[in-house]
Amino acid sequence: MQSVPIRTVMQRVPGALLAAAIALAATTQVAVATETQDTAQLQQELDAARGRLDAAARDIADLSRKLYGDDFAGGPMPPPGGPPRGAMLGINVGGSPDLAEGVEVMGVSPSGPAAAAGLKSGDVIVAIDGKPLRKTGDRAAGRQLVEQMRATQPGQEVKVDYLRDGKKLSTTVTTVAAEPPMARMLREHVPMLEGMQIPPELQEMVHPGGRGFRALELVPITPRLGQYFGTDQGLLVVKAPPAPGPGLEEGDVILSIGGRTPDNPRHAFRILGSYQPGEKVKIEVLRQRKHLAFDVLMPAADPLSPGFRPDPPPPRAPNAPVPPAPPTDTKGGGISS
Amino acid sequence: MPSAIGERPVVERAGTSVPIDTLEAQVQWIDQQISVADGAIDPGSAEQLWRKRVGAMNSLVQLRYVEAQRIDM
Repeated sequence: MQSVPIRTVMQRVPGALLAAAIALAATTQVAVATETQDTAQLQQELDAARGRLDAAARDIADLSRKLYGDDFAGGPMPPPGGPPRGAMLGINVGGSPDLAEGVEVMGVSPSGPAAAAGLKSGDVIVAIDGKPLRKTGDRAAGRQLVEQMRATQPGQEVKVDYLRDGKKLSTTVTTVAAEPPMARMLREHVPMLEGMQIPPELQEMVHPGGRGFRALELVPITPRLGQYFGTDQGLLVVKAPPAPGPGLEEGDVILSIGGRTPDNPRHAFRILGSYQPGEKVKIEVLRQRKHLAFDVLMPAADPLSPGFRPDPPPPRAPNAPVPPAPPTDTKGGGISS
Repeated sequence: MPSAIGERPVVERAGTSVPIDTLEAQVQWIDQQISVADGAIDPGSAEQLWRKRVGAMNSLVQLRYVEAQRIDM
């Protein structure tokens, strides 16, 4: 191999390095350009997919509302003599096999008490509060379970012994009223509707999303958030409906709606949904750590819909916005109403 | 199936939360109806209720998915 003087090497190296660097940079630029193009294209595709999903979601929501009404119309009505009595576990035991001992869970109601207690489809409930569920004569174990729950007070805790994969397990279920709150609300608002289809305006009542609140996003105040906002309770408005809307602003902490203190966001939505279009509801909030109360006229339509008439804007905070000061207490005391 | 999607988000949006809440109440209602009426209604009505439950659960799963994705509605 021919030797190359070190000086020559030293002269050639920077050139070689430069050439390599240029080549690398060119390659990198091409790669970056391709990557940027790919990312943009992927982003476009993602946006388009989200758009389709968004449209589908709207359809699902609308159809669900219709389905909600249909179910009340088509399903069997509460037993004669009034509304359902007692409590329920939030399970479905219809059509379960006629076992000598126990009742097989055919379905668990989502977000129901049994689901919260960890019960699953296929579990076999063998005892409630220590009372075994055994078939006696013509009385199926499932019937005994139903009767026992009828004699249970809503909110009462019951011990449930069950079999899963041959193992005996136990859990405690906090029962709820046999009639779901929403069904009860519908029945109490319009008693004559028992057994009839729920009219659209009543369905709308339980769906505030269509009346200006669809975009409302809430989160419960945690102790740390509470220190910042000057309260240990309430619901923080993370996203407010677009103006003209109900007058809520992002950063508001909702303390009460119509004199009722919402326990959680869903509770707040239900309270809002209990008002008729055109009704006024007083909302109390903390805004910039100042106590503020204003009336909201429940809109008849979504602000984005053509028929919507904007409500007068609610009163604003008296002072210019300032960042919340460091907490001196967590109760929100001393704030004027 | 809804439990497979995971916990409900801490931030709740009225546009998705309310229909989900309603559907859950609806399924609970149907479950109660099926359980109480077991053996006392004809198989056709029972099947109809089960079909409605399946439909409601389908809608629920889709809405839970939408909620989990935090898609504007």
